[in-house]
Amino acid sequence: MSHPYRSQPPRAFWKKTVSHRHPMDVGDWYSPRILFEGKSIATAGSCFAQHIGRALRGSGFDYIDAEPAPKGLPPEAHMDFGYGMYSARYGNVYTSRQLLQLLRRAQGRFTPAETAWPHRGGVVDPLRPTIEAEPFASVAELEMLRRDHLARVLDMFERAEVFVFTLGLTEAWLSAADGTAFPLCPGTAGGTFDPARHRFRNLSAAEVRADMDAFLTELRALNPSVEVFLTVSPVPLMATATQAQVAVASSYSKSVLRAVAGELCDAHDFVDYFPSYEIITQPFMQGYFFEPDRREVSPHGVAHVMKTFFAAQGGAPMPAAPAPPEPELSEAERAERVKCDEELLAVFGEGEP
Amino acid sequence: MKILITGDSHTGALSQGLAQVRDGLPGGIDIVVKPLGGGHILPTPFFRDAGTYAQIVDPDYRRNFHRLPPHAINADMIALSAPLWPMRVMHQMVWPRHSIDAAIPGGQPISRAVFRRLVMEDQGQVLALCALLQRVGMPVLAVSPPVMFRDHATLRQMAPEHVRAMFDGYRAIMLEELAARHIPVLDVPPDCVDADGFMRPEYRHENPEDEHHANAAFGALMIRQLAALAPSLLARAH
Repeated sequence: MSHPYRSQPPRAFWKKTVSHRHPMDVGDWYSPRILFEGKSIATAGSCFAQHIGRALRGSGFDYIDAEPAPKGLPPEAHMDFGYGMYSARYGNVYTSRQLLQLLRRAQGRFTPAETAWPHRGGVVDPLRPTIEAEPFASVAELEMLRRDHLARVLDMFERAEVFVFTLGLTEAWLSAADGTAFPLCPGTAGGTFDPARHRFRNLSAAEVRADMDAFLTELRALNPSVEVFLTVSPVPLMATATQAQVAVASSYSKSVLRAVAGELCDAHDFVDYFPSYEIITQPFMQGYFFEPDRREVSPHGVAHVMKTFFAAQGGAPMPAAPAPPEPELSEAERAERVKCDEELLAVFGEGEP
Repeated sequence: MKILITGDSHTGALSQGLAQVRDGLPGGIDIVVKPLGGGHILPTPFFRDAGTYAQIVDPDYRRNFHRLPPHAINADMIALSAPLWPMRVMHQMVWPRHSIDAAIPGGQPISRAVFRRLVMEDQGQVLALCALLQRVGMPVLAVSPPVMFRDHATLRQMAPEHVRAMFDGYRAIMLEELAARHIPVLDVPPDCVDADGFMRPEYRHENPEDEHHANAAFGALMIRQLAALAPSLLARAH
């Protein structure tokens, strides 16, 4: 007797894919719809997206760094100043609302009413309050850096051929005045929480879908050939502002995000979904990929996710980082060194110990 | 009192200046100038903390010193020409068109905090050397090189106000760091700079292509000043 399941591949069946297999041997997680090879890639999202960006950068993909660190800043300090986290210094973009507003801000179509939050004697940008370890010295400095940042974000959106976005949260803190979605609750890393000005919103599936639809439409209007690669962060909420227990609230958040990612993938042939969320959180993984706090994903987990990704997309999973090349000297630096050597030689001749 | 001046290539002008004014130095003041070497090595780990002295490990610098304080020169104070020369960071900033305080066309501004970090990366080894010398009881003094001459190459790449903001910003950060460490500074005399804060051309190096070193006349001024202030500088360094 014929029925649709007869023509399904083995990966469609739990028994053939999961049962009696070691969790690490479970395969067929992902068949790429969009290919990364030879394309310029930009990343944004919640913290798990940082792992993806790092792996792509280290594996020979054409990764966009629209806001690079200055040459003399040592690599170990890049993260302290928000460099290299993502393709530009926007910090974590946790929600669909933040992402949509980021694009609109970069295009000059949305300007939040709250422009600077006082913090520890300086000011921070409400839309990236922890982008640097210390607050900016003045509003003028903050605004100058923000203008440059948003110009670079626009450039990134315009030239990305694949935009990778990791959906992280549904819980958002919004401005009551204009709906600005803050990445962090006002008062936690700058500013002052004011219930009259700030409101909590746990985005529904319909709201996330509407945000993402608007984002995709507006992004494709700017960059018609860009493809979008979605993942859902497997990292549970650190805290919830709802009345639910935190694990229950996490489950809501991730379920919404996962469902919307699936809908978007079904609705648009330029959208792909990569199941990093499932690889980490499936019950048969027994929490193996979480750190002892049962929240952070371990390096093993990240490596396993990226191995799965690279197996499908090509590229090498996290090769050993080559020794950093000697920074190139400009002609002027070279000339200056020569002048210094000449000066020392002319005045002191050959030195003796 | 014996003062050893050492450090980068700006010791050249100081050495030439010393030759001009040595005979007129106040009695009891003896000054020796001997460089470490090129300033581009200063941000690298050029020395090792050997407990009671700094063992110089960079091969270029070892041509001049094996250790600081040196055995051969029984100095009462070491004057370093090293902590106040911003050009290594300036090059990192100007050629890729980075700026502070204001954006420039085609450039990328960075925050004051990032800039401070660049300065501290540049001077971390020098400040560590100062700390070591202080710890072993050797008074340390910072001798300023000249400030910018008007024809410095960086000024052709970017508007002077942007270049100066970084140059002056670097010096301000380092002056603050030195003050916090109780390291006195022998700074450029006000008479050496014009109304806009650039070095007067009469102190420019005699080589027309060298727009960053000063000449013997500047060196002589600095040496005279050092000799005159030596007792009070030593007291402050203690």
